[in-house]
Amino acid sequence: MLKISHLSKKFAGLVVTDDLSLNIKVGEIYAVIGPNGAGKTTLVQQISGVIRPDHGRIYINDQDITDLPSHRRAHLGLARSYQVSSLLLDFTVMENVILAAAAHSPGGWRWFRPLLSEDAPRQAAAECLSRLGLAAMQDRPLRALGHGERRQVELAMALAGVPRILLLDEPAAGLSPTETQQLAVWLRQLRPHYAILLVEHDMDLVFGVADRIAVMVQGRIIADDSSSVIASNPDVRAAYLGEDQNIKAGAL
Amino acid sequence: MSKIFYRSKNAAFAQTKLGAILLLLILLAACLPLFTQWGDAPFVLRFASRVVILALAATALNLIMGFGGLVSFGQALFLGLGAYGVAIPSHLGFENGFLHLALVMLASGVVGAMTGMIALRTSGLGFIMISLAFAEMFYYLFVGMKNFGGDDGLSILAGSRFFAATLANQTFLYLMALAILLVALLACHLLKNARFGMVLRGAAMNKMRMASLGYDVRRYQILAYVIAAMVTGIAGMLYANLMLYAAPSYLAWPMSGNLIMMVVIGGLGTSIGPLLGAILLLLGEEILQRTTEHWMFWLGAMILALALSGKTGLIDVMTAWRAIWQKAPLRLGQPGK
Repeated sequence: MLKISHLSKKFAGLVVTDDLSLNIKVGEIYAVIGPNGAGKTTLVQQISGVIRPDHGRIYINDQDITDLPSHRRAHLGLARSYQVSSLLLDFTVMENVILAAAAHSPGGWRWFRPLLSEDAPRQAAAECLSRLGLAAMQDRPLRALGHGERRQVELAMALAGVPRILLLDEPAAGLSPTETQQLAVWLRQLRPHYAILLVEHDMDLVFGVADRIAVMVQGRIIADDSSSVIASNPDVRAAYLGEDQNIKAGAL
Repeated sequence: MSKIFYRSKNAAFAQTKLGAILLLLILLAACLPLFTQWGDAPFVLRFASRVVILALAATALNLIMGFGGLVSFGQALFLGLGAYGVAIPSHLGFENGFLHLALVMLASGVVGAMTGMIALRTSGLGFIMISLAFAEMFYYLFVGMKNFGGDDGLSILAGSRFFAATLANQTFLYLMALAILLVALLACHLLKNARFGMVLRGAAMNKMRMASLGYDVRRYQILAYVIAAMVTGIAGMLYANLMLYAAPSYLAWPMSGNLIMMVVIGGLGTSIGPLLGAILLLLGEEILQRTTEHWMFWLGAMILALALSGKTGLIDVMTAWRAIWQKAPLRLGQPGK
């Protein structure tokens, strides 16, 4: 579904993505782990079209999307969540999610009819909110929400457009243990329907839900295998799990 | 947040009341020419026309600045194009109003699309500077057109003629301007919560997110920019008929600054704000001008007070007052906010 081949990106001489290739199928959660600064978010930015790579190609369903702008990629089924919540703060939860749904619903240029009364996006948004158990807070303004709730809306917005590929950039960042458990439940429910790229620091979550895990260090994938193999890989332990205190604490 | 405070059982009644008040105000505004004739005060009608016309331009600016978050410091460019769209043909002997209108729409639409496509490649400060630069370029273009008055501007002998009526007729001009303003205000009000307005406002809050959701943000912004340009062009056409004169100063940056002030004073991104801002700014100017030589100082002080109150415009201030007034008995002993 999502294929990346020989992707490279340099920022002023610093190599942030180094000849990186990967392939994610529908029904699979592909986790990318690695220390801070390994280039994980830069990878997500390149897939979603915010940053252009120097070399290499990105494909969705064998269609080359390397040169397409973000909004075209979204229409090919790509949706993402952000490491730092990136929401429309002056709108309510419903307005945020309905905008996500409306981007993919026909109707094009409606000039005078309130968006909230358009049937198709409204239904899609309501369905998405109730699937995630967020229906109760749909009329609350985003500004009034706490961090954990914002993370949930972040996920709801990614799902509302009915994508095929989900790029989740640290969805568990700043969540409480209970909220992280809830997230794990959701991810398992979502798995059959999407190709999911999960960038995450929370090792319990990663080893709990991921089918494959890639370990990224300095822009390169040093190991890419099923989660059980990765967990016992000595190189990975030496190069990564032993190095970063936060991750170590999370893993134990 | 304020919505939550006001929602009550009487919400429907309040809405009806608001509708009745609005209708009454519109009727009063429409009857203004009668009053000024009775009172023999043609200058009041002229002043009202100026308010209405500049409020129309401010409403157009509000579309891109209030909803789209794009501060155009060159909106006067289109006001000027509209004015010269009347002045130049009538100087050449063409008085047909429909011709003027077509010319104004074409000029402001084409120039709007061209400058918009370039200016919208940037955002923030870059957008402000580029929109200003385009307006200044056209300012000097009109200054240089010696055939059409150059620096001194161009007088208009007869206004735009629509069949038997001409916009040089003060009453006809006022009523036309008022009708167009009301349509523009209503359109803005509906647009705000429709798909188009929501996407524009969303892009103002978070452009990257809107793009990753699948919106071609720039297309929406360019369209909004062109619509704003054309509506401001119409305002310019009316303005030229009011003044019976077009000058390069219409395109100059102080005019753009005034329009921005109207939008900000009234309430950025509210549908009725630009009208309130235009009334307040022009009325303040008129009254202060009569009472003191240093009226600019007091006008500045007023704007400063508004800015320091931490409110985003007159609408916001009124909402806050209403909240205090409604909550007053409960709030005794609490610091007011």
